[in-house]
Amino acid sequence: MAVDAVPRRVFSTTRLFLSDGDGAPLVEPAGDPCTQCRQPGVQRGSDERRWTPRRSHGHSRPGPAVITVWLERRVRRPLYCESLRGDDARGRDRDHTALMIEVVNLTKRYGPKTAVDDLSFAAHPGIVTGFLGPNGAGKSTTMRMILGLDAPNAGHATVNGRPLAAHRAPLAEMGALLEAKAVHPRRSARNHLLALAATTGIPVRRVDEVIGLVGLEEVADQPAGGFSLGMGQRLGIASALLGDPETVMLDEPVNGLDPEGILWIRNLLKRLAAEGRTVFVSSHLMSEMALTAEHFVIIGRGRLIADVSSVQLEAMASEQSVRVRTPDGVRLREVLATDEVRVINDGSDVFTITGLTSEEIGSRVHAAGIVVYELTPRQASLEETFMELTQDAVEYHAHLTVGEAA
Amino acid sequence: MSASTSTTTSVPSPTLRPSETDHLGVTQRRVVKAEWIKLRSVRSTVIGLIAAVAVAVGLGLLFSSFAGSGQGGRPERASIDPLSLSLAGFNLSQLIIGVLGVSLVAGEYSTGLMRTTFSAVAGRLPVLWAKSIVFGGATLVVMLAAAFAAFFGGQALYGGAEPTVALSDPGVLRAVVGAAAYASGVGLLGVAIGFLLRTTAAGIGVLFAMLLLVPGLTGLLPDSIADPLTKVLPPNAGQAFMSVADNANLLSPTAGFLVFLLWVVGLLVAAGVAVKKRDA
Repeated sequence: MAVDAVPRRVFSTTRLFLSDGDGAPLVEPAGDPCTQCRQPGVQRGSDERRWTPRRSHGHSRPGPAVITVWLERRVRRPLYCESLRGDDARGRDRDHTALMIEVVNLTKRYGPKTAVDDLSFAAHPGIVTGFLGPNGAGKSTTMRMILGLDAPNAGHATVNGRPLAAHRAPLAEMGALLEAKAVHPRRSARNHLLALAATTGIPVRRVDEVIGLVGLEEVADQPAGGFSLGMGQRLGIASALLGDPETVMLDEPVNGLDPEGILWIRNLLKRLAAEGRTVFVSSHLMSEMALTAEHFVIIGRGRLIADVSSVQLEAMASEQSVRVRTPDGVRLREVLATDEVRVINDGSDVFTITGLTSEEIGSRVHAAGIVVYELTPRQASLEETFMELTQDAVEYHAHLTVGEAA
Repeated sequence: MSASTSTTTSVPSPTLRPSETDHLGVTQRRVVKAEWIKLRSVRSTVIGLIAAVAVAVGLGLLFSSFAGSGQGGRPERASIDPLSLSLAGFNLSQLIIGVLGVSLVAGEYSTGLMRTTFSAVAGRLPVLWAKSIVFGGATLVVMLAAAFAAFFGGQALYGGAEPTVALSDPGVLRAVVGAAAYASGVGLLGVAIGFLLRTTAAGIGVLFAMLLLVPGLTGLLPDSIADPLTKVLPPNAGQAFMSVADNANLLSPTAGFLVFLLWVVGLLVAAGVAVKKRDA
């Protein structure tokens, strides 16, 4: 089936479904092939019906998975093939491959210091993209340039195909949270949102809607200065969602939040992504992003270190270790330890061995006749991998681009 | 984890309807509306405006009644012009308005709200114009009311001993309206300085220096330079259209107004250039 013949409604979301109102499925029932090439899809999951075209599917773009999500006959996420046109979340005819954040050779210098150095990456719709780097890596500077607040010295950033400032209603293209409490302390949350909504002609109804969405109904008429950090973050997210944007960009949204708030943000991000939006979230904590993000853009000293999926990042874990429990630690050391192999005693009879695979260790201890109670290969966690990657960047100023999004 | 998965997929976010999104877009008119919401939704700004009116009217009435009852500071009444007595409170209330203007803008920078505003209104300049229109308009309206209240009240209290001035006397209406316009103009200077300097403390410092300090310092210059220079400073240019007394040290009312207007417009344009060129 040719691209032109793809039913435009494939890209409809809840809104259009509701406006159709007849309850009939908008697209063919479950199990249908890719709308572009008719290759059969693969079912994943049960409660939600997800289809992924088969592997090596010719139309998939590099990067995010090619996924159409069906949910109660609602198409929530665009089928992601090359240059497909269709209605976006608001029923506008658009090229769906353009609904994303794209950063090209972005460079920003402050005097002699280069805050962002020739940075290129993209954040795609339908997934949460984690933007990671140590403090001072240039994350916030990059985000300000994406928003058009800071002018780059070189390169450019586009949101949904254009610089954000070139859009008629920037709030409806990108919702951003830069600082948690960027509100006048004496102005009420509701008035803050009303003023922001007024700039773009967003109806008052929507203001109350986002207040409900972030759960601030009870304090909406109180001055924002009295808000806790968590409430401030919620208000910031309410501002970001005000224009019902296709792309959402949040700078350190979990900073200073309590566990409940963190869980709430985590779920919100996943939900926004599941709705087909581009979600771009910065953090300096891999442990946090590992739980929400499917794709990672990691920078250090303003340079790109990695632009990888979570699977690729896991595979990059260079240092694997093996945990061995044995009563004969002395002999274990004798048999295994060399310049490349480190044997660390974690206490009592537990040893952590790096530099050898579990197979190699198993064979050698067997050959030496050492009794082993436990032999467990351990993969470095995403966080450890992240630490290792960023450490390199900091120590050696290295420009190492690992695994171009395959 | 299963709980969170169900949250992520089962409840759709409420959205804008297509009929609503068709009309989305930033316009100058909408930004003005937004700034109006901002202005009236902060109680301290509203209280500041009320204070400016209260000071303008209250001091005017107070001085007029002192002078009228013969308790005024100076015996030589002839040198006192009853009009400027009535409008004496404006000397203080213009400062209040100037400070409000600075903090209206600089406060938005200090909280980081200006970044949000500028990312919503990517052109940025509409924000500068909207703030000017809303704050300039609001102050003009309330200060006009204050000026007439101070004038009529002041003349009524002053009336006992001296000949009073009437609104129909030459230049009086111009001076009363001029006092309000000047106060509002100082507010706009404050807005422009707020955009230029972005911090409240520095902005208020520069504004006060401009209004209070610099006119005094010109006295240190040789007369040949000081005289023409002093005339075109904002407070003196303002004085030229706010008073009816003949004063050789002042410009004509019309020239004074034009010079003051040039200050306001000049600083707003400079602010516009800065806002457009600088990183927010």
